[in-house]
Amino acid sequence: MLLAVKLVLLAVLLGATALFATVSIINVTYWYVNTTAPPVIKYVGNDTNVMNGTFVKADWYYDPGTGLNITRVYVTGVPGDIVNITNALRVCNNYNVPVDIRISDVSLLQDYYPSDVYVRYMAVRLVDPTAGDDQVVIKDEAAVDTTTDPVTLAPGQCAILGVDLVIDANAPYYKTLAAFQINIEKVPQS
Amino acid sequence: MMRREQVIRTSLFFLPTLVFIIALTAPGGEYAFRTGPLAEVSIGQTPQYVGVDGKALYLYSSPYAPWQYPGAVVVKVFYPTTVLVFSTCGAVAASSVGGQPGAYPLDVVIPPGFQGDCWVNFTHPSGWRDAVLFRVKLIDWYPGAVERAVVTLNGTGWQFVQVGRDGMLYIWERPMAKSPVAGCVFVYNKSVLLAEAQPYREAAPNVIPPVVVPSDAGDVRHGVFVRLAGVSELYVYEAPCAALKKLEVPIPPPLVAKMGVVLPTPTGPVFDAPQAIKSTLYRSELRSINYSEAAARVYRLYMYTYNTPVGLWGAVLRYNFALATLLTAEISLFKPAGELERAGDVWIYRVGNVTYWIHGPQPHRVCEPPCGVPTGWQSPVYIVADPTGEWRGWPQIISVKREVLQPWRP
Repeated sequence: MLLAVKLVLLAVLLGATALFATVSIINVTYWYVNTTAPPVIKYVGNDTNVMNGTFVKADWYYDPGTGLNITRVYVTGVPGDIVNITNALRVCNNYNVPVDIRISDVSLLQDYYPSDVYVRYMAVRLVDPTAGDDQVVIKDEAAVDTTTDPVTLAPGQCAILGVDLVIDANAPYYKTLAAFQINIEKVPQS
Repeated sequence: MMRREQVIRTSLFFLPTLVFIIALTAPGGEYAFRTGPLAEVSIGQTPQYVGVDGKALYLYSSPYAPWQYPGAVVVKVFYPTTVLVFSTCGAVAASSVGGQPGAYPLDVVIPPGFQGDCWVNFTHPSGWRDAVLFRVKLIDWYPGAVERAVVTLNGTGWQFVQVGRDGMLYIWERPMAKSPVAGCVFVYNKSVLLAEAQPYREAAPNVIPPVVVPSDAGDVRHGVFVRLAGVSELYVYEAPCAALKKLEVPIPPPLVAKMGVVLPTPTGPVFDAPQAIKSTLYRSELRSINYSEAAARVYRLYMYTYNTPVGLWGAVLRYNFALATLLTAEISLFKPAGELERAGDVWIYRVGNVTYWIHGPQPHRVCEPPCGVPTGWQSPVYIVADPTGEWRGWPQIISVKREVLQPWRP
């Protein structure tokens, strides 16, 4: 069964402030991979707010220890099915100059089932605009492609990030399987 | 009948010869025909705590050591002769002064524990005499010190107290108060304590506040051990330091603990543990100190452990984290084993018969949701390990006062 879910859930603002080309800014995101039981209805197309955020939701929290604003994204897969989320996160350029962003430094921080490999495939993609290498890939819970090429956002433009997810059919339902740190980085303007 | 020639001869020869012989044999030699006193005794330089009343000096004596008053009495001798000196309490070492005309300052030393009147008599065979009176009072004060700090402590068990050159008062390496007197003589419970002199220097330059660690050169801190049982007073005097032979203290035990942070990597979480890159052993008079630096992926650890002769040992940890936007699920600055307990402002681990007392940031925590890896210099982690079971934590400093010794009058 192929489940294609397209969601627009939350606009997350990228804190890109610097005007100097040598400055890079890293926005930390933290992605939980959860599981759920298969839904009875097949969602296709450009649906938004599907099942009240069952498949992807995001919030942010402030870490007083470091002063970081950390965006926390929960993506939920269905064991045994392929889930494509085409609008998981939006990253917008709030400044009056173009900025280049990329996804980088994909790393696994928490594996809630260390003895099993349940997250078989996860790709976080730049859906729009796209770049040459437009996705980071996690395969069998190890990051194999940790950086995308940069994309340029015009003033006011938002980049849309999507997720493709394959959860092993043996994974338990309604559990958090793993958590990844994925940075969205404003890179120096080329 | 003396003839006229004999009278003339006597007048011309014998009388001048007699005068010459008298001049030669007189105690004042060629000064025999000078008028005025043979010598003069006066009061010389005295510290501000000495009272002077004519030729009487109001002095102090101490139970701890002889009290020296250098140059307190000056004898001015006007003739090339010596004046005999005798004191009734052994306060003056010299038995005579003089020889040539001039001023001779006398060093006065009041023996420990002396109390009462003490005469210093100056005599000369010619019959000249003079005297100075010392009225001596015995006080509980280290000799020679003008001022002292009175530190009132409330605690239990052995405490390691240090005073830095700037007067900062450390207890088990942790700065706790400021002493108005920086010195190296400590008196506690009517005893002068054995003190160590250990230099400290900055481990990394240009850090504010500075990160100081034991070294072989630098700013010296003087440290002593006191055994507290309730409220008691520790006195700190600025006085010449006593040289002390180094005690044989075994090297500190290794710090067995989980130290580091969990870091995300593409293949999974790793625990970023420190790798020692430098280690130096220092021996002070009272402790053996092992200073080491260790490097890890996202931090550098500066730490020293020290062993003491009183059964306890301690450590100080300074973490300097790089600026990294990495998330973590566990921050373990120090976790030997067991469960972390909070008792007042300290953290406690109990591992077997050893109790670890920790002051500083939370030594161990699990981040749920994940938190960012710490950045920059972390507050110091002060550790005291107690295998004796008698220690009850850092003492309370009730007060620190400055006292100045004033002259006394009956």
